[in-house]
Amino acid sequence: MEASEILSAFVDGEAVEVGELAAVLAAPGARETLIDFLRLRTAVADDTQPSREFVQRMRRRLAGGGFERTAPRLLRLAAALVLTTLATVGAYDLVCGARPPRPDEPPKATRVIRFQPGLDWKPVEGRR
Amino acid sequence: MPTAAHLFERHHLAVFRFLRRMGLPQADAEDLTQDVFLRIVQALPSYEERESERAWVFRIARNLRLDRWRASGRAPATEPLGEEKVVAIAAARVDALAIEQALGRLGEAEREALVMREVGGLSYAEIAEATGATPDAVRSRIHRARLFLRRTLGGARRPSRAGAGREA
Repeated sequence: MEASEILSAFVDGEAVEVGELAAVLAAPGARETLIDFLRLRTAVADDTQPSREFVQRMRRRLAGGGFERTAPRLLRLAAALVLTTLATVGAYDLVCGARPPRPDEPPKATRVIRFQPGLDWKPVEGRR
Repeated sequence: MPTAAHLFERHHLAVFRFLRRMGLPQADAEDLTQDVFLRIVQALPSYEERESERAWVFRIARNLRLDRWRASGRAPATEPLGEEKVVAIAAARVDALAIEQALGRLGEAEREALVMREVGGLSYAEIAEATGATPDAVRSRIHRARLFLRRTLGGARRPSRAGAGREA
């Protein structure tokens, strides 16, 4: 392993062989290399932040146990609306349509047959 | 098992900064960070606690970034650093731009390893886990990246955030 590679790993807190490190540190230029690596760390570090709106939106979504984007949320809303409508219609049908008939109530007509006077029957004098 | 909300609190900033340092503009980095945690919600049942949580999260971030890169058929979007922009920016920001440009000239593997280490705080073993490389390869990539940046940016430089300019 190169001398500067040992220093690089040392800067990162990785395991290095102590004897090798001692020899590398005693070599000329080691101090400058070490300091440069540490300065690069500061330089490469990033201090940008995601927007507050983004973080709050994510927290809300993740805390709610769901993680959906805008479109699926609308789809779910539409699906809920359809289900509610169907449930309402179904409930109305159950209450009004499937009510059992009273005992004295004649059964509902299932077929209606209409006869036209003069065409389907002819009235006969003296008979009803 | 951690919840997605806990993972978000613990890792979203590191993931976001990793993506920024890999060259994504703010809006794209936020968008991809959201996708990362969407994927985490889906993948959480298959998460095995014996692996490093941070490495797992970064592997997802890395893979999604590469997927997007491949899908677009071009290099990942980076903020343009046109000359006029550099000139317009205050002198104090020049160092930051120089670093951005130097990072952009690093090889993909070197940049990724260095940024995971310096921005994400991942160990070599975790970077290896996240990228599918060996820890030795990771150590070598980070070392190469540091030598390149040192050479490109000048020897004993002081970053602007430390309040000093480049040394002669």
